[in-house]
Amino acid sequence: MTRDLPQRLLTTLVYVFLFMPIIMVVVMSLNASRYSVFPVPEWSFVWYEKALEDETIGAALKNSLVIALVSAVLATIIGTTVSIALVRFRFRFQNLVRSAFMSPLIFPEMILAVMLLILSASLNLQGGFWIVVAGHVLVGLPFVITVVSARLHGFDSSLEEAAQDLGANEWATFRRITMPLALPGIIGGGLLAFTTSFDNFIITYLVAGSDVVTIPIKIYSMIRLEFSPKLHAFSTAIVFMTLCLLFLYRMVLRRQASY
Amino acid sequence: MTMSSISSLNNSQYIGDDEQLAEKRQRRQLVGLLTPGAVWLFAFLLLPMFVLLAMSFNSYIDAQIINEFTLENYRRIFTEPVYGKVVLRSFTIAITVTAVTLLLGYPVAHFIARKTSKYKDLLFLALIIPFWTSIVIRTYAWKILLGNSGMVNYLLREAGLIDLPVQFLFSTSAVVVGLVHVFLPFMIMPLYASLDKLDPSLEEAASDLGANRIRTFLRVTLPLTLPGVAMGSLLVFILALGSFLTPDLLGGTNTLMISNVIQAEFLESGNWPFGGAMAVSFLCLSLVFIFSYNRLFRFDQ
Repeated sequence: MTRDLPQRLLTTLVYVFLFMPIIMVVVMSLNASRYSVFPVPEWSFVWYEKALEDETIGAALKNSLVIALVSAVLATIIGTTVSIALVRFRFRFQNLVRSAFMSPLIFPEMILAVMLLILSASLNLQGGFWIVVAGHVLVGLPFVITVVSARLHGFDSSLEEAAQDLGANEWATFRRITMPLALPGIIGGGLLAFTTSFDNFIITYLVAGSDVVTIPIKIYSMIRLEFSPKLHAFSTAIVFMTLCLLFLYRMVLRRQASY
Repeated sequence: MTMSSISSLNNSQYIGDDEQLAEKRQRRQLVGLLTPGAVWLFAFLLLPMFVLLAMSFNSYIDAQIINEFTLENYRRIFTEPVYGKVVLRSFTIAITVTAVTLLLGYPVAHFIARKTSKYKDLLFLALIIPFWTSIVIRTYAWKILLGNSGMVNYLLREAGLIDLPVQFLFSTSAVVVGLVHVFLPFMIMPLYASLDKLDPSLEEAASDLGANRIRTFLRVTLPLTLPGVAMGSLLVFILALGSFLTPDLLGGTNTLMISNVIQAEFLESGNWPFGGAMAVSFLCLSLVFIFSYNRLFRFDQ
């Protein structure tokens, strides 16, 4: 036991290092002072009240939720069909097709962002909602494909074949067999796509233009321009929201394990 | 292009004409399944890549983008020393971050995989939490921690190590700390995966045969987990090399990385052809790096 002490100590320190910044944001959100002083002189909820009164924060939250929802639904539909093709079929250039769909992960994100910016300018789009969604779907796809493919590998394709032998057509087989069995993977992939869109900064920052302000953009401009402790209160709420999503994701995956 | 031939089928019970019919149906199904994804990739990845390439050969005269072929943008990147310096700095920072995350991450991954069964799930979940938390929030949090009246300066002052607050922010070390924090989970997870797959009895056998802990680690554990090391290092290196937000928020003007310079060309100077040429060069650099890394790695195996 004592031989493990250095390793145990290091592990503890690494976890402190990982969580200290987030904890500090929560602490500062309860700090009455305008300035981020440690140790905290006086505690208060005033910045939460101020954040709730700020209408631009509410607008950013609404934008983020709508964009993340639309992107997640699109990424889930497209990613699921691609996963079925990749797992249930054998075809030429299959590995190439898989790599192509995973490639947004290895592109430096700034390059994806400027590519979409130039595209949107050459289409005279001036940024806006749909080009942001297009980018978010692109980076969400690899996550959906990974999770849904793993789920499709996890159950026997003979179930689908049996349904077809019994006279079910492709759509009925998909609706009654494939879809219910793959559902935990599909929901899990959708939640991952939702968070990647919800947290996305670089693509939104470059292509959105001034009309579409999402939460990460709002936080960035508050850091840059106003630095009011409202920022900490608002960020704490966002961290709490993403934690709830993470637990939802874990619950879905646990259901997956029980099949 | 990819759906032209289907070599093996799910339903193999059809015979003769039925088989041909089934093959046709399967092919139609496959085309239907891949079309939405292929359209998306074409419209928002392949097409933008060509648009970017075309932009990088345009001229920029009197603050106007002019549709006139030139190699001037590329000439500037490869001849003006300031851009070479940015690339060198980005590589130095990315390599440092990779080395630090590997040195910190390996013992932690080993601890989660081997030394604890009670807290395994909890520790693993705790790794995923930062991964789900907004990177903007996690990065600006370091401004509070490292600021002049922040916790780090407070603790150092209380410990009697310093009298006046230390200026941590806007330096290369602040950028490295912020990046290590963002990418550490990306290193620990593949390391954990390969350690978890490794049968502990191999390590036990080595120590039964008289190898001490260091020898066991160097001769058994480390060589057998090299795929995890290679995977985690590539992931962290590529992500760190392209980082924008951390140098933007925690660094200063002399810690700008490749992505910051590209962003400035597009959003501040408006010289899109030049920014485009930088983006194309950076993309080629990353792709060449990833391919040669993969080659090298397969050799080792």
